[in-house]
Amino acid sequence: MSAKEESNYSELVEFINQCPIGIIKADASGEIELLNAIGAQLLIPLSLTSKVDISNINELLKFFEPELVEQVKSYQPTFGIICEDYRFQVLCEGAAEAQHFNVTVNRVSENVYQYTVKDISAIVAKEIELKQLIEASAMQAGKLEMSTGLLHDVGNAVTAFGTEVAKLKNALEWRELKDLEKILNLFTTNESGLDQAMGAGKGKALIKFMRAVKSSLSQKNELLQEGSTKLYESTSHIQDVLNIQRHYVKDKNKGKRELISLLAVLEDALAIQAGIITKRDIQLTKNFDSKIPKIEGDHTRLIQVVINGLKNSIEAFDGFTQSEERNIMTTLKNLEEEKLILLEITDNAAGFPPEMGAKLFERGRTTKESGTGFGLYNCKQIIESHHGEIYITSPGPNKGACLSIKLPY
Amino acid sequence: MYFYKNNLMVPQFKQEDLFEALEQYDAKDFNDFDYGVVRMDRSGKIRAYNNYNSELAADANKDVIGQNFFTQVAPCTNNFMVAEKYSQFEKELDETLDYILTYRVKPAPVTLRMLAKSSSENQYLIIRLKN
Repeated sequence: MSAKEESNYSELVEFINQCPIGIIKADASGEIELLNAIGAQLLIPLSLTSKVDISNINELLKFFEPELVEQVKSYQPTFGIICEDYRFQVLCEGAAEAQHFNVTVNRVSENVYQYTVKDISAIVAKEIELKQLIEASAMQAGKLEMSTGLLHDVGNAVTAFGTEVAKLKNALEWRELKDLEKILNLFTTNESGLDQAMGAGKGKALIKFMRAVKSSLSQKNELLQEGSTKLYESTSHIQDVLNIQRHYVKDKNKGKRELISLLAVLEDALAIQAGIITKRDIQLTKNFDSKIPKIEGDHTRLIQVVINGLKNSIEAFDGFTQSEERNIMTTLKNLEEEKLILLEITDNAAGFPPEMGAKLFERGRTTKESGTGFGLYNCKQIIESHHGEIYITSPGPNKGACLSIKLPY
Repeated sequence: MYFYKNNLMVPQFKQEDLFEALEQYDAKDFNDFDYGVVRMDRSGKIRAYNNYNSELAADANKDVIGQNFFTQVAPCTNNFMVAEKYSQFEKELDETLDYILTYRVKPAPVTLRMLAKSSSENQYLIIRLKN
């Protein structure tokens, strides 16, 4: 070999020895003719473990994977891939952990076989880790699906229960007690007439008896009213909690949002609250722009936000006697330059100190005696998930409040 | 225990105090040895590599000084049987084993002796062809 050929050959050998895969050339019987550095690096420990001489690769592999060697020996064609990416693992003598190998055998010609051997221990470790992650994720998804179903079923049951509780609360306003009061007044006025009809002193006794009955009924009615109010509040609290959980679960299952009309959202929410608004003698005004663009959003969740805002305004009138007229104004504006829709609910009810505005969105915060603090916090989560903004302002106590929502389109 | 070559006292492959003996020699002295000597620093970088090794690998023209023996010059030794022995010993390493080197992609059966001491900056791999 000339010096140049020698130099080229050395360069080729060095290049082959740096290959990260073991390459072995063997004859039909398995006798090794050539092997590169990684080939030796991987096979020598197998030889040490099996006590089989490294000079014959088939004898060496037969110790660990007789099936592979059988495949090689029984391959009839004189050219072709005999097996590809055959995996096996060995705990070599002296090694701390089992090694995983990947072998491909290629018949190059009648008496030339090419074995490529790779240590895939790191790959196998990653596959195991990935499998565990997938299993954990699948379990989580399964739990999520179960939670969604459970929340839905429980939510429906609670809604039905809440409806019955609301009916019960209404049914406990006994008009009969007022009728009984009228009869008692009539008898008191005509006590002498009763004495004449029933006997001396009997009228007084009857009046006294009826007063005792009325007092007892009133007390029982008060107890029942108190109980049903607590039931109503607990049910509302449960519904708030379920709404928050539904919100988080739905966030994880977020799908594509549809184009929705905020006008429709507001009108639906007002329709749902119409009964309570009328019952509490609240004057409702609507101040809507004629053209309101649609936005991408979740109709159901946005209705929850608007209903929550309306409820807060309605309940702010409870016990507040300082305004002669109870007013709630709903506003819907297209802020064209900012490409935002502004939705506002303004009332002239109890209000709050101006510095409290931001804090009301903190979880657990409320101005209501019976409030849970979940409503506005939940609303903020929903609006922010729509890339919008929500805030509540008040000029001060007794000066009303305004809930503002801005949503992009 | 020693033999003489060109007026140089050469330690035997199997002698007990071989590590101490090798420490006394300059790199060029190793060329008179009848076995391969690779002197490395503790990270595996070659400090001395004698003619015996060069002839075995048929790479006489190649300058391997400064290269990592286990990863660049002889990757076939980069496993738990050889390379990892040097990183895992505590006070002293002195082990001999039969091995296959592949300097020229042909399997070459050899005997290896691995030598290291925690008190020295050097470590050695001694190589002798079998048969």
